[in-house]
Amino acid sequence: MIYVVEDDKSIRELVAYAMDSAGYEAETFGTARSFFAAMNPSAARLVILDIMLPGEDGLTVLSRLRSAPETAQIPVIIMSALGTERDKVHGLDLGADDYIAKPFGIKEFLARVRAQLRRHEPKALLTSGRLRLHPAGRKVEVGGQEISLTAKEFELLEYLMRRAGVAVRREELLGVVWGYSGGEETRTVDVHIRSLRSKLGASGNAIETVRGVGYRMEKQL
Amino acid sequence: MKRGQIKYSVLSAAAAVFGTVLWSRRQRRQAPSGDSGDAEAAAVLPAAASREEPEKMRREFSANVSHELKTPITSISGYAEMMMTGMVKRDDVPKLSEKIYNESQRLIALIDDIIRLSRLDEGSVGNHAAEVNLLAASRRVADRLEHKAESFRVCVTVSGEDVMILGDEQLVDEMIANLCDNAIKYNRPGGRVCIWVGRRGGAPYLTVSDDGIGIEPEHMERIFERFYRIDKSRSRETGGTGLGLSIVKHSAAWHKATVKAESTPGKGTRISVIFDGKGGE
Repeated sequence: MIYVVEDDKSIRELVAYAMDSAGYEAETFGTARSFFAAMNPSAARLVILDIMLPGEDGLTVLSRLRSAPETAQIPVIIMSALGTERDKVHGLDLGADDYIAKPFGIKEFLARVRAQLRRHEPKALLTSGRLRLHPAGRKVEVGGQEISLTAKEFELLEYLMRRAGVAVRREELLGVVWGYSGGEETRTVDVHIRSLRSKLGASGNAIETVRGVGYRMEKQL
Repeated sequence: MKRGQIKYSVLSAAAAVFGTVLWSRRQRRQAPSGDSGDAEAAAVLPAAASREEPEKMRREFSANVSHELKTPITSISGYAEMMMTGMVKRDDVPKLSEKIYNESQRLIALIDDIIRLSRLDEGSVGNHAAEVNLLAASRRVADRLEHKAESFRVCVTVSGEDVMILGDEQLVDEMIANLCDNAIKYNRPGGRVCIWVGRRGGAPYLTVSDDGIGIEPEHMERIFERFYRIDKSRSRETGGTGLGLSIVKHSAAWHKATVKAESTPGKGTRISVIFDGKGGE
């Protein structure tokens, strides 16, 4: 879940629309209070914070997130109309992972979201049945046998394996792997999944099709 | 640097300069004459912000102008970009176009108010003081706002006597309109707004009162500050710029009039403008 805290209704809806079109699940809040009441630290993948909020401001929210052990690791992007160098340095020094000044371009915004999500993926070995994926070495093995995948196939597989058991929308895969947002290109995903399945042989069946949604990696130990 | 970025930095630089100009002119005008809007307001509202360091207030104001301009621009630019690059589903286009339109209207209202305030600051308005009939001006405002009042299901009445002041007709009109507009917006269905014109102790007196939602005491001393909003989301919904009462304060100061605000939360608000015997400059 991506949490967005922004007091301007129109910008809140804008960010929610952009997130949805990129296939991300996002929840938006107008105040720090409602955010803290609803946030689930274990589900949080990213927090996007405005600074000038009524009540508790965004920088205070950031400090609170950083000081509690269960939320200290959640990536935070500040999204603010305060755009001077001083403002940015201050926000980053307080522990923000990125800072984007308003007004911003939607494509840049989504690219920054992807960058944060990517950076915070753990680097450890991923396994599913006979399938082993080494994120750092960009290597995939089935039953000890190395399989040669294209860059896109590798990223697709890695993303699905990290979310094993969860149905991932085609739009999200398109955004994460290809950097597209929205549009009608979702067939690209289907074509690559087909090729990935055939390369993985019997292990390819672990990638299930979820009708009308996208794909899900079977959860195995 | 891309073209879009240049446009944005010009905008924010313009906002900063605008803020600076507004403030430096204001300070200059204040210094020799001692006739400042802040002082007038402070005479009535205890501990008004005018005691703060001017430099700090100037900085805050230009930061505020910049923030207030960038917020609607972020939505306009963002929605337009998504429509342009095919991120928007066809069925959503009318809804998102409406958002772009509404945010543009918000920006226009904001720019109009900033320009109005800057003209008041530099003293380039109201140089031709003439006889103004406060009752007739109030009736004109009430007629103009009738449609808006109906949409909020609020009834506006004008009463009192013909009172002439020496002043600027447009400033008086804007002052009454801003007060009346607030009284309509911060009200509830079935609410009433009364504009009364008369004399008290010989001084021309105009009162706009409502039986609306009222103002909590902790906000009272700040309501005349630029961009101060008690309920930002409500102000936004009803198209407020956060500058209306500041314009009232400055228009009143130009007329050497005093503004008095009284309110009881849940009961209503009464704002009075007390002109001096002659009025005008």
